[in-house]
Amino acid sequence: MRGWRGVTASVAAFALLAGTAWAAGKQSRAHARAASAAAEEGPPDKSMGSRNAPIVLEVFSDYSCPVCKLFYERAIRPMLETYVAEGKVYLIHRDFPLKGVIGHEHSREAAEYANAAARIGRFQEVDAALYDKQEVWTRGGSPDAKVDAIVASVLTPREMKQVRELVQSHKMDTYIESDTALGNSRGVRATPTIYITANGKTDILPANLSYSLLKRFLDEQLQK
Amino acid sequence: MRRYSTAGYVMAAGRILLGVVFLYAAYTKLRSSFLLFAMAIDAYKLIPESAAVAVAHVLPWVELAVGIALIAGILPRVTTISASALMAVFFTAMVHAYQPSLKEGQQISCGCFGLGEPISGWTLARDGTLLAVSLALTVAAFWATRRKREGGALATGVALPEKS
Repeated sequence: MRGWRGVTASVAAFALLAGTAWAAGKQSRAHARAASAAAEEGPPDKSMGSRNAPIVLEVFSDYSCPVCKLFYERAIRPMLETYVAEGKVYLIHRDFPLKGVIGHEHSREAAEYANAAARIGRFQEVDAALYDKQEVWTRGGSPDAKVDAIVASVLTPREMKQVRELVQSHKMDTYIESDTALGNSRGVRATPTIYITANGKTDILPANLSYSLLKRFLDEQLQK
Repeated sequence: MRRYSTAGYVMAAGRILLGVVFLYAAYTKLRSSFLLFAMAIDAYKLIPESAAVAVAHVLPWVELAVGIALIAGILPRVTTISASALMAVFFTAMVHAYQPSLKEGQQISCGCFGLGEPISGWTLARDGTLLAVSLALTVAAFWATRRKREGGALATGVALPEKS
């Protein structure tokens, strides 16, 4: 009797484990399929928040630029947790890597990885990692201090493989160039250049702004 | 009819040019929320945030008044001194904020005519020229007043000290 109970329990445990593994595998396969399907689709989505938000913030940025990092830390990060999460602000990232500027040698590479991550739906994590570790990868040097390593630290090996494939295929180049061309057509000359559209009016925000003033401005626009 | 000398025409042109610049600067600030301009002032990191907000409230109206007064030729000495003082403050702030080692793309926004124009050699040259024009107008305004007084004194028969 005891033997039968043990066998039944073992079979049940095995079935449970097998079922869980199958479900996880199915989810993972579905995720991989969705990611590879996304990889074949149009421009990578480098936006955050609701498209129907009353305020749209469009940031032309260079991942190597210290003021862009400052703007990310002072304004974008607190906004992500509040205005963006609450559907009040829609954030759009545009790549504008500066050329021929000392300290910006890896800007383009970082933008390629960010676009590839956006393609597989992991832009927000990679965007944050690139700004958080800007001092590390802009200096370069050891393999751990390269853009690839920084991006790998926030993605799964499977996601990283996809990102590397996209970067190596140079499929993302066209999207970086189209962002840069858009910036040039609008007269962007500095990074970050921040356009804010609210109540049908578009203005430019200064880069090294104080979050308390930005918050007052956002609240003022939301009340109109 | 009032007659102007060539120098008078040049000064009138300079006054109108400077007046138009002040009017345009005021317009670009007043058409948007004052908070945008407050952010631009705050970006210079020269004064506390609360002071930046106060300046953002007042400065566009001062620019508007100075612009109108310059064009209309009202109180020439007061308006030209005010214009020179404003231009001197703007120019000093820009020079202070400008970092020659940085490229234009890395400089802060000038905030002169709204936002989005980084401080550069061009913006410094432009504001430096406007400062020179306003200083020249100030000297001319004082000179003209002095000449007028001397002329008035002669016309009214008041004796002027003889030149030695």
